[in-house]
Amino acid sequence: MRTFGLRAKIERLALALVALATLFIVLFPLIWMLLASFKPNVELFQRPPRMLPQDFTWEHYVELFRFTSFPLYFLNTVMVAVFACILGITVSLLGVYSITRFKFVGAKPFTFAMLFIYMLPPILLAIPFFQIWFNLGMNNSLVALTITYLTITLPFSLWILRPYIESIPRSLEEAGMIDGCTRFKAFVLVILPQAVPGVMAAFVFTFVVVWNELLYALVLISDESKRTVSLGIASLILETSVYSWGLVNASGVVATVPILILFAFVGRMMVAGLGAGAVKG
Amino acid sequence: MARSASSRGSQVGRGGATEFRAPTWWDIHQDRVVGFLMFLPLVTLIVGLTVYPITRVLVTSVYQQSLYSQVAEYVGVRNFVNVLQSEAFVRSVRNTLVFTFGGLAIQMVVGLLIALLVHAKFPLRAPVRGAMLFSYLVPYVVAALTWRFMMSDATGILNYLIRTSGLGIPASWFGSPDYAMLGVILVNSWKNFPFMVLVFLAQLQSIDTQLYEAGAVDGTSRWGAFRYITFPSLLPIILVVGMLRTIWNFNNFEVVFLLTQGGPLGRTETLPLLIYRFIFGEFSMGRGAALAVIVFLILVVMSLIYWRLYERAQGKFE
Repeated sequence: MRTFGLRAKIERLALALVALATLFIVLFPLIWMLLASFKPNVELFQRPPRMLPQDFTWEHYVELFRFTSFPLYFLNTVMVAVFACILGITVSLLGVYSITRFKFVGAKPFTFAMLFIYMLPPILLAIPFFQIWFNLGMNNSLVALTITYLTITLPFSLWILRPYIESIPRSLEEAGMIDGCTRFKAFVLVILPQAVPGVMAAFVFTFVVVWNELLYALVLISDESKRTVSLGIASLILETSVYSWGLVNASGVVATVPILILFAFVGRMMVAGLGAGAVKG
Repeated sequence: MARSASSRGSQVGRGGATEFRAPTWWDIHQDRVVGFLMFLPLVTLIVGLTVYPITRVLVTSVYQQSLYSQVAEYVGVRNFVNVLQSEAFVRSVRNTLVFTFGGLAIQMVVGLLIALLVHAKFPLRAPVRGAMLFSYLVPYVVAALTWRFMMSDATGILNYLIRTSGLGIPASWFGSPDYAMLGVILVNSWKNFPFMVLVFLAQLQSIDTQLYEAGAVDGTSRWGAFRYITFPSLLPIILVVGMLRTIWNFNNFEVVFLLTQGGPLGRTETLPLLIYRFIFGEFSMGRGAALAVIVFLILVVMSLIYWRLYERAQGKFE
């Protein structure tokens, strides 16, 4: 397989060109959205369409933040996501530790069950959750939505955290326990600091999954002021018959940017997390 | 609570050297009890958030109940009979199969090709690899809005390109009975192919390079190397992710809902969309639940197959 010299260099450059061209095609819908969000309305109707904005404008973003409820949707989504993620990660952290350190009867079926939850169609759970919250008078409640999102954050963080916790050597906590720590104290003082990277990865992933979620919000939330970002955009593209495409594109950019920033932070861990549950990390 | 109790236990344990006392039940079992207490919230929440709701769907499926009413009348299997005999059911099963396997085929092929491409060495490989995954990370609403925008009549660039290409096909796919299904499959594939890239790439990186070197010594061509080394190494993982993606495509609600809402003329109405329509369009909780139960049973079977493949693949890698 080893080739040296000019031929190999040219081959690599050609490959880079092919890869960049592929990337451009793959990303085109997002690039187009980004560029359109900076075009004044007149330009959006221009035929033939032009790639770059001729008369660059921020007007759609100004409109989005000053004259629509998007800032509120943003706040709603961040709150719901943060609470659902922290709660989900805390509970699954305790649970994962327990599963990996103690041999409980039924641990294997339980693992299968967690994998299975990952595969349930959300619409299946949306039905009873609608009934349950409606009967409790909690439809239209962000608290209810947060609890419902635990069905996503729990199994997801469990799958991400499991390999991290499993890889922490038992001798560490055993040493702590010989020194007089209780099991729980050893968990807090020895395991938690070691698990920080896993917890951060789990947080980013669950946060993004909740941030992107649409169906539960659609089913549970009807009050305009309680919408999440996804639901807000869905309403924009489904309920209005004549679109202000500039505004819609700006909302899409605003919904995408936080996610890309978060993923830039976790970088390499991304691969392990995205493949969670599908392949062994 | 568990904390104070257990710290008392350990004091007893340590003091045991000076004043002897037979270990109590708590001394012996406290470690396991604490372990169990740590496990308890997870199990409780899982049961409360999945087992209970699923049970509720099973119960609802044998009652006739309207969406916003508390009154339910027991009807036995009538909901199931109604659903199975409806024309919409047969149609949506067909749509679901086309949507699921059409999307699977495209995602597999595109995913494999791009994984092979970014597995090769070239300048800027790392950022290209990262950026290749963007469409998988963005929300479904964003995927839907940009594709709707590109396909829209007055402003869409794809719409414009199709119109001026002289192909004589509809320029706005999501509104066309013949092209809507192709449109939703394409958008679903665009959104989800990076998952395949990720998994295939991880697998490609784990192939022993010595195999290729041995192949090169034997004068194997590139195609031969792919055919006899790369592909066989990928096969177990292809089965596993293929099954996983089948399930996820099967479950997908957002793509179709946001692009066509099942239309035009029900041409893209898949099973999740039909459940949604029964409940939130026709306010029939019972029929929606009955269809959800049918879907659930199909999923149980698919998950068991997935689990088998997953375990087999794991065995091969260890």
